[in-house]
Amino acid sequence: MIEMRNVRKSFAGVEALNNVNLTIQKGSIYGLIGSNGAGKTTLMKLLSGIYRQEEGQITIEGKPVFENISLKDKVFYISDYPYFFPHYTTKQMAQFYKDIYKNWSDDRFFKLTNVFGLELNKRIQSLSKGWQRLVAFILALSSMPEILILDEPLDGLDPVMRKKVKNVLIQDVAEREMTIFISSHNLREIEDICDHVGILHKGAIIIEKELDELKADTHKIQVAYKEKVPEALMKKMNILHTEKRGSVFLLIVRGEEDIVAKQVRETHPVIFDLLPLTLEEIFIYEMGDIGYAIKNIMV
Amino acid sequence: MPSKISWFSKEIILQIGRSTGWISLVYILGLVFALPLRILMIYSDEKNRTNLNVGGNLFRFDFTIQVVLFITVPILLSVFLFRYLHVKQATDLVHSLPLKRNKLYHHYALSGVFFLVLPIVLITVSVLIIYASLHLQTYFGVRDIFYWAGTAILATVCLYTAGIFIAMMTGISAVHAVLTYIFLIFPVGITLLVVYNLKILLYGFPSDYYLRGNLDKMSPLTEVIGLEGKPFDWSNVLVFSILTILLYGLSLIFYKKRNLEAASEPIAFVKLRSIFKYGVTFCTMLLGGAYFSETLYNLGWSIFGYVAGAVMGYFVAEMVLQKTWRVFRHIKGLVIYTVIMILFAIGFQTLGIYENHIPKQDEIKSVLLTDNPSNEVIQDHFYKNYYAPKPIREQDNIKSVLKLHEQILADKQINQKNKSTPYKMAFFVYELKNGQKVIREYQLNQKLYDDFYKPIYESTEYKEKTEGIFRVRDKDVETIAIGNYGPVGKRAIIPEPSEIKTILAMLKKDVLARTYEDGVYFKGGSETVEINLGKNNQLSLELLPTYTNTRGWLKEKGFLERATITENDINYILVHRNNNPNGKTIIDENQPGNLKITDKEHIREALANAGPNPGSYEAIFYFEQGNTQQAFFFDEDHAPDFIRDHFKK
Repeated sequence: MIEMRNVRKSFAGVEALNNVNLTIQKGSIYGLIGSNGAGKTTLMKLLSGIYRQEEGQITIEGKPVFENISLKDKVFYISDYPYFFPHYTTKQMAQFYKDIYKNWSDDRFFKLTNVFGLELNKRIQSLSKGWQRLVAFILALSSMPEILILDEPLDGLDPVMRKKVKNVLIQDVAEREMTIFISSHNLREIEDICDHVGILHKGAIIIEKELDELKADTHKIQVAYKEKVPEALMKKMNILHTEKRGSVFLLIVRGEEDIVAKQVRETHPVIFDLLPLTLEEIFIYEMGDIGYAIKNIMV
Repeated sequence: MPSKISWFSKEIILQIGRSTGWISLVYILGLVFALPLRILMIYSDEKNRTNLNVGGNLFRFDFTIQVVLFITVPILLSVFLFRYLHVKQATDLVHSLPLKRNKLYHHYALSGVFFLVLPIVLITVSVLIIYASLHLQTYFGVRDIFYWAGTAILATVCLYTAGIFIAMMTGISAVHAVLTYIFLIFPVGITLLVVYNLKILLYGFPSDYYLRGNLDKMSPLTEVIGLEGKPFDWSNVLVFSILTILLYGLSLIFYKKRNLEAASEPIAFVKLRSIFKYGVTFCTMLLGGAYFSETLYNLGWSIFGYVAGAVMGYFVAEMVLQKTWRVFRHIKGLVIYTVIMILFAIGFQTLGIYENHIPKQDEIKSVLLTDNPSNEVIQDHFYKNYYAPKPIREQDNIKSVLKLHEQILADKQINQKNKSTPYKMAFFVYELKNGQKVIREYQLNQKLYDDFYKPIYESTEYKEKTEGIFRVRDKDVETIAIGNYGPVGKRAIIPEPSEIKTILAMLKKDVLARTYEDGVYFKGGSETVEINLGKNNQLSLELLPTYTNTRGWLKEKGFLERATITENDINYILVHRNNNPNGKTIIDENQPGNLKITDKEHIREALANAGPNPGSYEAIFYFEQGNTQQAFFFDEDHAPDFIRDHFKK
């Protein structure tokens, strides 16, 4: 379990993070969303033991991360612009990591490079941005980390590659109970792999939620009636948002799916659809007041 | 896999080698040219093979190449090695790895030491091979080779650790290199600046006295630059070793304290930033003030120098810190700084305790008065024995010195203004009965103080304490040479001990009888007495025209005609009124009003009264021999009557 308690970090007097609290369960994929400059990268570097917080605790399995070698051996951090030693080939870089990380697996390394068709003896810096990112992924996964920290990992990957990478990541989470901490400025990009989401805004986590719980709880309904909408129904349901498009009503409703559906059908609507919500919509509707802020972040 | 827990990480070393190995390679190449190749080249030139004789100091082979390598390679290496702290992405990568900073530090720092030492070792081995195969024992020894190797290793490693230390302080590689050199030269620079400025601010501050010590001892960089000239002794070894260990340890401590986001910040520690900013402001202020005071001697310009220096330094420091040149709105710090400095300067001026402090007569044990403070510096044994003036103790003389000193203090305004006129130093060292010393130094126009100098300089005690002739023992003298170093050289050597004894006695008598005015007027003449004390040591003193006892005896013995210019050597003399008080003019022979002296008796009289220093009349002496001439001067007091009469008309 990864925990951050009351963490504060500033750069030359300018606060980057203030009072951040965060919990990540083992084996989960935690998505960190935030606009540019919200402090995502700072938070990740703190978690990777690169930066040192001014206040608060950052622990993995109860132990502080900073300068803790046995912990850092199980953590792998890929920065938003993956860096490799100048003139190093993938093979040389792999040898370097093999020397540094105790759990490095050659077997896995060759399997992955095969799958992705990577040339081992090419200088990494001569590869395209996407390939460089892929190399970073392969190196990271080959060192068999228990925690993988990814800063804007999918930037620069084409959709096919993106899918492949996501699959490999999910596979690792399933097989080895790897924990992934992933950041993005785009909720849509990571909503299909995350099971937890936190939103970072101006240096603080404003929301932290489990996705399934959210998804199971909130629904988008389209209904139309010959006559007026029955008042009784409106009173019975927990409605977060109403919108009228012609004769069709769009409702965002909180509650169990079966019950909501049953209640609506009882009023005999002409049209009735129960639609899945995107994560973005859930956040915006669910969070009411701060929804406005979130809306801005998502843009 | 236990090997992975081991301290030593092969891959890190490999990475360091791949990225910085080239520096070592360049270093080796450079040294190959400077030593093994140079030795072979000199050896192959049979005629000049003795050039291999470098006095046991191998630094003398192509020292320029060597010294450039020694002072650049270690710094360059530290810059490239610790670039991983200055490039953001590299920092993030390296520090996300499961490696403690401790381990990273030792790996990088010690690899650097290895890369510095390896070339020296290889060169040493190659020189040893050449030495053995060419039998170079006649030129230098194996000991000398190891002296070279040891010194080079210690010196470069020391400079290198200074580089590491600065690497921890900054986050930009360019700043790293520049700051390292500033750091290395800082002790010398700040001493010079502070002393120069105290001299400007405090009337009488003995700057030359404080700068007399070996300034190059204060910086490892200047020590390395001096390796060609002087030996690197055990005290150097000690200082360099301590410094190296200290900097190595401190660097690690600062590395651990360092926040990694400092990469790309010019100064890594927030607390150091103000120190840097105001430190730079202060130093450039001192520099500006010193520069304008030294070149223009004008209070207005000096103040301009201080202000300009401070403003420039402040904004430059600010530009470095902010990494932009648009910093001219940030003047709050400068304003505060200026206020503090003004208060400081006022405090300095009103205190005045230092300037006006002269010890009381009854506190003084002895006093040394000289116009040459560097006397204290010269370590040469012979010089110390014969030339260095010694302090005087007689109450009357001390009283005279105090009177002079008081007058100098009273003339503060005049003396500080008139720095551009020909000036002399007045250097006072009082030794008090309580063991303390009071040291002051002034620049003044000695002419204004003739009345004060006269009783001191004419006193027997002062002459005995300052003139080398009174320290000569008859039996130490091998020969005495009397000579003239004018355009017509003449020289007579007297080897006879009994005659030597007589001359010495006569000289002492004449020196004691010399008046202050004659001493000043005739100073710098070309007739000298050289007392040869053996082992190439000689004491020389001027043979003034007023030394009648000596001259009389020399004439009697026939030496005078052989050793000095007499009327017989002179064809004629041309005299004109000298309108240029500071120097010599060219005489136009045909200019009306000039006086031409051809009468031998007049020439003799002119010779006996002519001085070498510019005065009212300039006289060109035309020699019989060759087409040579020499310029002399007369002042009103010394000009013979027939000259004065001529120009009176």
